[in-house]
Amino acid sequence: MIAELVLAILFGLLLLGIHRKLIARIQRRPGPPVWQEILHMLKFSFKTTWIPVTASRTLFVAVVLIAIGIWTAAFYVLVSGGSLLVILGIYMLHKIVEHGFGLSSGSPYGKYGGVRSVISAASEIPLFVSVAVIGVYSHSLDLSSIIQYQQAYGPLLFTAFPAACAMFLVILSKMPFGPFSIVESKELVSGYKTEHFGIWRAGLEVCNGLKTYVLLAVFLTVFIGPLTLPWLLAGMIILIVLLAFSCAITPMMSPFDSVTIQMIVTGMMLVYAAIVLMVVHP
Amino acid sequence: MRMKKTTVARIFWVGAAVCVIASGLFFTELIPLAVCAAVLVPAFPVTVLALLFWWMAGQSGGDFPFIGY
Repeated sequence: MIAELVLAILFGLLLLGIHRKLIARIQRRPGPPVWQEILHMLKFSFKTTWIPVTASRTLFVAVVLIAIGIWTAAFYVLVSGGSLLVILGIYMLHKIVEHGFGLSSGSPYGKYGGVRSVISAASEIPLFVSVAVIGVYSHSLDLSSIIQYQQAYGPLLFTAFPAACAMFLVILSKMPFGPFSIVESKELVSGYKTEHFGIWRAGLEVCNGLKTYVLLAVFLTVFIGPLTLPWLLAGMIILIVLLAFSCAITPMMSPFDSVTIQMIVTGMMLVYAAIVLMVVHP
Repeated sequence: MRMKKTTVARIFWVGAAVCVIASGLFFTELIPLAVCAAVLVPAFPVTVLALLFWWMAGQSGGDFPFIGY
């Protein structure tokens, strides 16, 4: 299982590299090589590392361990076909960890990044209402049951397309350089991770690779169904291409606009969920 | 707080051994996936950070990473 975990991290970092490369090419820039994020992780691991004197030492180090730990847990929930709710719970935990990253450093940039993380969580988490729709159709939120449902009735991507769009928006909000990436916007330097440099940042890169892999794999599992490993990897590449296009052609929004748009989509999803509830379970 | 290269190397090897043994026991079906995951979730992050510390650390003295600024 450790081998799968390491390969998932490397493939997740490769996906992030493809994401960066595609954005650059769409914007007519050469862009970095696709393996840049893997090199990035290695580069940071060789940089001088410190803990700022203004930081809470324990929290500063612990958040890096927790960030990797929670997505390791999410990976095993995915592999074991466990509950989708646990994975979304881990997603929420990640928001708290981002907040911890920002607050632990004592840097104003980090703090603002942490605060924005909470703001964005307030608008992203309600999008989880899409999960209710999945539950209505499959009568369970276990990934294994959702897969069984799709084997019998076809992919939920077609049956519950608006829910897939909402989940896509959740993943888009976690992608770097995206319209909703307000936690890492340039006016905050690097946002919540500004002061986490060197080995700490390399650890965060490991977390980001794993997070990307898990989120994309969960999306494909929930909305496409059972896939063999080659098809799963191909599907993740297609998904990252769609995400890259979305990120490349939309500017980063202001925090207010980001929250407003996500809340509007959440409202639309609530209406959709109500309609599904009335039609499927009258 | 100062840590030596040898200390983090030990932490890495212990962590890596725990991860490999847990994975091996799962593959031989001696432990369920849940137990394997329960071991790997705390052990893996510590192993990763220990590995990173190990290969960037200098050979002499405890000079990293807590130097402050």
